Amino acid sequence: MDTAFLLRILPVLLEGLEITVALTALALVGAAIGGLIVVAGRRSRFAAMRGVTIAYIDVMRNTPVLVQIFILYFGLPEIGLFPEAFACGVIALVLQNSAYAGEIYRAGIESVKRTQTEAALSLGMMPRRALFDIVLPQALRRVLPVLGNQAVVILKDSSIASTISVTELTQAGKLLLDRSAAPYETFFMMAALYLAMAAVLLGGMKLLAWRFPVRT
Amino acid sequence: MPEPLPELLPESLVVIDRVGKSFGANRVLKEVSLTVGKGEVVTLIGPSGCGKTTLLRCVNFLETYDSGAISIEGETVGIRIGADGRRTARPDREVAAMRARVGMVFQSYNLFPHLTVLDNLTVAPIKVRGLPLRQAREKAMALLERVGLSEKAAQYPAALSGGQQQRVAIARTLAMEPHLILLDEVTSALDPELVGEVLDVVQSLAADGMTMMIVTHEMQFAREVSSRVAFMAAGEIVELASPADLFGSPKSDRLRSFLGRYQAAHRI
Amino acid sequence: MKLTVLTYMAWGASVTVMLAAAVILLSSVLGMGLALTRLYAWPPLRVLAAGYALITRGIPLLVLLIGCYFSLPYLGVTLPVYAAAIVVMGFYFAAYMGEVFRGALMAVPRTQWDAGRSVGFRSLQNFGIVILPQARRLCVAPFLNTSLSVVKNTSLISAIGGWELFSTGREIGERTGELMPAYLGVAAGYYLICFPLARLASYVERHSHA
Repeated sequence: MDTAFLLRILPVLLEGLEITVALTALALVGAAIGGLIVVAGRRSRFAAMRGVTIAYIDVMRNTPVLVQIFILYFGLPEIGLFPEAFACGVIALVLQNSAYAGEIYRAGIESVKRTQTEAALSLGMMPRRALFDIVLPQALRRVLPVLGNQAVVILKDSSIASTISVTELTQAGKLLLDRSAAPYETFFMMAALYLAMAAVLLGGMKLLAWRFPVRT
Repeated sequence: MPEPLPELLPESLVVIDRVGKSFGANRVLKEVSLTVGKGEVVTLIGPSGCGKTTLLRCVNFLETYDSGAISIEGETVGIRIGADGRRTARPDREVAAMRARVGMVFQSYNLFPHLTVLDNLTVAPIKVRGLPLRQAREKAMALLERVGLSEKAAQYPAALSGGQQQRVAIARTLAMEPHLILLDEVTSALDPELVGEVLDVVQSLAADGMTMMIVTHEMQFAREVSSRVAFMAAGEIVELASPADLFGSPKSDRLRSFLGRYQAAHRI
Repeated sequence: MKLTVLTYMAWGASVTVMLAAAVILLSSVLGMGLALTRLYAWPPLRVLAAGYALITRGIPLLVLLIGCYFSLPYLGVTLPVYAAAIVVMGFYFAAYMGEVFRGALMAVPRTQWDAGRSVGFRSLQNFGIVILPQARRLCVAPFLNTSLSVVKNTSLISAIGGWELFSTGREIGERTGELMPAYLGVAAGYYLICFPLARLASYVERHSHA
């Protein structure tokens, strides 16, 4: 491998990496919050609300992110909206992963025994307070590893934004591959950078799991 | 057996007036009436499935009831009954405010496993009653002292024995300064050697004049702690009397056979 | 006109289904190998298999597809795009399938091994007769969910020039100029393929706990 070449392409890839980090970070925050909305809808007392949420989860789970990104980027202009490519990437990742995050939260909430809610209610807490202060903290701790895996999926899926020319890491690498005659170096560098980011995400989750252990 | 009318007991804290409840076709409570006076300890005994736990849960509105009314300090629990007799659900806020004045201790302790013992005691006073942190902690420490567990304040519930967890659960309830405490088979999940330490705490509450409704299988305890004992069977209160009368001269066949079976089971 | 568009998309959908089927098959075989290696093989091999899973699952599939598409010609290998895609995706999803099988095998209680041994089965017999059938039941739902993920990810093959369902949408969109309906049609196509898988998975999930 040609180290001089590696050093030359690194700045280009790092620029892409910055955008990948931004995409992933925004999508992570968006999906974490979107998931709460999804789980609220899924557990709503109104049947219509539950139905709409189930349909939403169904559509998101059963269609690829790639299609969603294209619908946003190429479809929306037909109805007079012109979102930027970067925004389309973030929105598509948030839409899809809110559905997954919501289902993960739900599994966590349902794993907390009903008696915990009863104990909280019997102390005079409002149902919402019981959910947020007693049930959710326990639920989130239990699903932390699953959420960590989903965070890595978000990171990896952010590469799909390259298909609508967002110059994130994958697109930056692709441009280099097009122009240079040294495909391995570029490819290995890209892979290594993604791996490093995945390691940071998983490490962060491990840290959270250590700080907030599941207690029974 | 006629129960004195609620109006005649100005000191009554809980008035259960012809409460009925069904799970599907199964009538678990049939027109149950009972009053609990201020400072009284009323114990509910009876075979499993007789409705005693359901009745206790209705008092805290963890369970809804279909007919009749329960009131605590003059306020109907969970529902409002209009002048025309129409029943409407009370908003969550009012139900929560009622529950804040009524403590409940569960068979399975139900401590919050993600909070330390101390935080278990302070979370409701802080979040529900708006007590400042320092004050809540001081009070919690005093209560832990009272149940003999102040050295466990920083531990998590999982590190405690069943008996210790149940004592913490009682302290957690006391932290809300309840006017009434409901105890639902608080020793049933405990190893026999841990039962005593929990019953001692309950005993001391009774001595302090705390109003309590207790569901228990411990007959000796019921006899010692109660002002009155209600024997329930098949969703009804069959006998209600002082412990001396109820255990000493049971009137109904059902109670006699229940006590007979209990004694047979506990004879060594 | 509408009918020809639909026929065209149906063709694309059938290519997607065939690609997905090939990837699921390949990744299942490889994944089973990975799972068995990680659980029962010589310890250094176990570490190797674990490392493979860790690394594969940290790199985007699109990067692997693009990387191989650009690199292979330099290695002097000229694979048709479909073959390359199936191989790359097969090895990629093997890491996921491996986790599915490993999870299921580990979920069978250890005491079952002892029970099998006590009636006189040798290790291999024990595995085939006692452990595997129980694990198979446990892995159905996660296997279906991973398969669903395979179907969705075959859309990325279009990025390296493979023709499948997603490509038909792009072509129809470009030719008719009506992009929104074209991509919504593609979405509907994926939905129709994935929906039965998702339903089956949640059905199995609900009924396996009882």
